Amino acid sequence: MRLSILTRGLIKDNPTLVQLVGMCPVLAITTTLENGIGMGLAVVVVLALSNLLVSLSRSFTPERIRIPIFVVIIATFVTIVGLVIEAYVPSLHKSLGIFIPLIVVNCLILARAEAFAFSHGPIDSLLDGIGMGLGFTIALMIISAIREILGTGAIAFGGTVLFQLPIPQTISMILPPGAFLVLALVLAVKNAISNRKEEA
Amino acid sequence: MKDIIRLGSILLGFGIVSALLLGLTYQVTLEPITQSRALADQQNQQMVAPEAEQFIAVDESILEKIQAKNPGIIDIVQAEKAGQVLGYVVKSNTNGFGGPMEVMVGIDGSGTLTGIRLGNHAETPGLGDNANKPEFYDQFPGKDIVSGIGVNKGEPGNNEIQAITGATVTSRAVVDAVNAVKVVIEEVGQ
Amino acid sequence: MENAGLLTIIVSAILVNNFVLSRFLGICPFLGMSKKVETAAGMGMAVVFVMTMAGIFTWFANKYLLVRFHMEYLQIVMYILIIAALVQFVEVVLKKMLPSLYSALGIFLPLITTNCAVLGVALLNDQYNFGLLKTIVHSAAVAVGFTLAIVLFASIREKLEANDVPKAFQGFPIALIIASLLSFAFLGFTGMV
Repeated sequence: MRLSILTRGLIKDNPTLVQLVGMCPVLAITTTLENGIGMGLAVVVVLALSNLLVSLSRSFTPERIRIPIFVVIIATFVTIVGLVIEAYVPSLHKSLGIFIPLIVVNCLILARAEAFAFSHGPIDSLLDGIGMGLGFTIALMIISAIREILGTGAIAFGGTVLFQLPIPQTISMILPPGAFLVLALVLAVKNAISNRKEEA
Repeated sequence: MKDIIRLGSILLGFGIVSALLLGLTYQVTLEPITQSRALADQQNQQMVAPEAEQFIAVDESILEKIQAKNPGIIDIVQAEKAGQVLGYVVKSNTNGFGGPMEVMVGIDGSGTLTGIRLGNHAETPGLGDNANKPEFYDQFPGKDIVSGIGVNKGEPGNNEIQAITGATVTSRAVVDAVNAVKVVIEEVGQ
Repeated sequence: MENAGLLTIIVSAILVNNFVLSRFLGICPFLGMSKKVETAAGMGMAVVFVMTMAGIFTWFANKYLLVRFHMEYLQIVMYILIIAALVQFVEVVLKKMLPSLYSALGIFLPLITTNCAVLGVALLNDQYNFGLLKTIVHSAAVAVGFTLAIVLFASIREKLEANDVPKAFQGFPIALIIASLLSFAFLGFTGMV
């Protein structure tokens, strides 16, 4: 039972590909695989802990003003994480720093607070956060890998090129239109697969 | 009405707790953050003036005079080796595509670049932030800022920099910030 | 940007750096509220109103509270509270004073609290170091850019209703392809300012 809370975010209820929430970072930072993974992991940590905090503070949160309260919890928490990382792990800050302010405005975190953490216990909420965060990471990895390969013909990690394909570089895949296009195609492929499953 | 006051005060309560936590974290992390930023600055200084052995802050009065001409400049240090002034390292603030962007520029006394690096910035990952990769910043050393560097999207000419693909705004912002360091040469150069 | 003229700011915010199509802020309402032109326009109007007000209030809060008392680290939390309070306030006032406008915009207002574009514009105003006038102009122009994008998008999606779209592309995929084409079109404005 508990395990299914963790795993269902990965594929079945994948936040990006099935629920379509938290789209802003999916489009904005998926320019390279490295960025996709970085943002994804940062979200896993923040989402798990913000779910935990939202769940713990349920008893003092009046229904009508829950949204502003969630946003305050998330913003506070993200700012603290940002400061602590910059202070004690500067090398991590160098690679993840640019994502931290972006997480505050990630609607995925708010959506999980509203849809799950506000009505579930702390441990379930923590597991939900980790599962949804990993599902988000998987989606980011798929989209960013496609964009990077089409855009630059290669995958680079930490400054070293892992492999280079002999295909023309299509810069527009890294530019904003490419983000919409690749996401559209990934969703269409996903739909085609699930349509086939339904028919079978 | 009573309800609004009650809800408002709960929200205010959350706000106060949040402010206290943030204030506390800020106080605790202030010192290490200042240190790590200073360390990053030192490393960048060495990168943009590789020959230099020590860096000494210029006189406050000179800095103020230069800041009056270019308010973007945050800090200037003298790059020295064995007591001889090799040039200057200038840290300035400019606006890129995603917001403010710090550019560290190393020049010799006549306005030839010895190197540039980006400091804190918020440029788009994968596009604008490529300005912090060698393919971009290695183009700068040897270029002359007194006559002014240009940006080219195609084949760069003599005193020109090849723009980052898909990030012309960032490229231009960096080059403009580098060119704006010219005021330092006018003030203190040989 | 701090030295840019007002016209440059307007053109840049509406066309060149369109929040939705080139900065990817406010994607959720852009995708969610764009099935009909009428709803899209309503959402757009609500955003114009809230964003401009939020720009003004956050500017004062930033200058006279955060900067003065050196509490810049509270910026995000404070801005969010301002936006949330503003939305609630607008809702109450509209309901009392202009019920007809409220019935048109009412349902969109709560959604705006969670619209990352509003926070985005407030933070950007500060990063660009705008004065009050430029803050107002910039905030309003960004909101107009949002409205332009969402109305264009909705009008294409409406037309699409009657078309025969391959099954796998129905719903979001085809909408995203349209967004991609719009984004390509807006890419043409790059370098204009």
